[in-house]
Amino acid sequence: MNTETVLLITWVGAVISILLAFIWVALRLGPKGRGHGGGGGGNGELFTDEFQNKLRERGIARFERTLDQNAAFLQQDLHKISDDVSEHIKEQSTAILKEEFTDQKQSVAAAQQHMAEAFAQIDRSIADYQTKMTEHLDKELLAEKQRRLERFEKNMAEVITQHVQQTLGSHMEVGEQIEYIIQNLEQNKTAIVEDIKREF
Amino acid sequence: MSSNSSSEPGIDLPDGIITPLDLGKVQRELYSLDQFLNASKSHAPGKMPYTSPTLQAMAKNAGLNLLLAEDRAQFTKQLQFVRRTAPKVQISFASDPTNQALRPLIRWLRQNGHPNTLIAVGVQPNIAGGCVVRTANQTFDFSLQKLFKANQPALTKLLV
Repeated sequence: MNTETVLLITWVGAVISILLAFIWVALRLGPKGRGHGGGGGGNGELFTDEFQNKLRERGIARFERTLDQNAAFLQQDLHKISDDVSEHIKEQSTAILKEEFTDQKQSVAAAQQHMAEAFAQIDRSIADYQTKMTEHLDKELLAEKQRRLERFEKNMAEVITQHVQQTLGSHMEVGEQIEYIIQNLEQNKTAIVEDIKREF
Repeated sequence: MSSNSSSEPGIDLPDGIITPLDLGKVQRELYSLDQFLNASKSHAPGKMPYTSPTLQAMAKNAGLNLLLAEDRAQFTKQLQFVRRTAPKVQISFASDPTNQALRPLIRWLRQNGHPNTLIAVGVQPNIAGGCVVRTANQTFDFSLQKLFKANQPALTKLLV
């Protein structure tokens, strides 16, 4: 139970106690006064009817004034309590909002951190993939170059032979090659002669 | 030139006969002449068949008279023997060679190998130049194609 509630209950208790006190006084004074006044008027009593009326009026006035004062106090207290409650609600709301904002900030920061990590991971993955692809392409290019080079080397002699044959075919007579052929025959003379003689 | 085998009716071939086709041509001339001269005994002769200078020279070198039937028969036997026994060397060129170009080759083969060696000429355009010599059991590649292949590393170094 908070302070405002205790104050309110105390204040309401005080007002009810005062009202009960006034009611008790009124009940206590009412019949006795009239009895004493009525008897006193004709029989020399202490409180005459006039005096009793005055007292009654004064009591009513005082009671009304007290009620007005209490009503004013009550109103004042109500205003105060209302202001306090408003202030309290405002403070509570501010605190809650601050807390919420803090939580939101933390959530946003966490989300940002998470996103940054995710982007960094993606960047790393892309960089790794790029590196792997570059290495793979380099290897493929090297292998293709090697394949073409080997194919070229393998067929080069035939290509050049074809080229020479097509270029010089009609210009290179056998007669012009006889010296070269005889030279080769001389170099292989033993094998050729032996084979010829063996055939005969 | 080496001499004929004593046990066989051989004959030395002149430079004019290089290929088996040349030898066959001489044999056909001799056969035609023999047919003509044999026929002339029984009826009036017609036109005398052509005899090439090669045939005449061969007969002269062998000391044979082609007008005599015995000599013609002997000459025929000699030529048949040569055709049957002459070693043949097949030589392929990039283009068809002339007889003039083949003459040094047949001389070399007859001087160093056998006096009746014949050359069977082939044409292989893909060898580009030089020749490929095939004897009975072996092949000798003297072509430019072989030369290029043998020097492929040097060519590769120059071109790559």
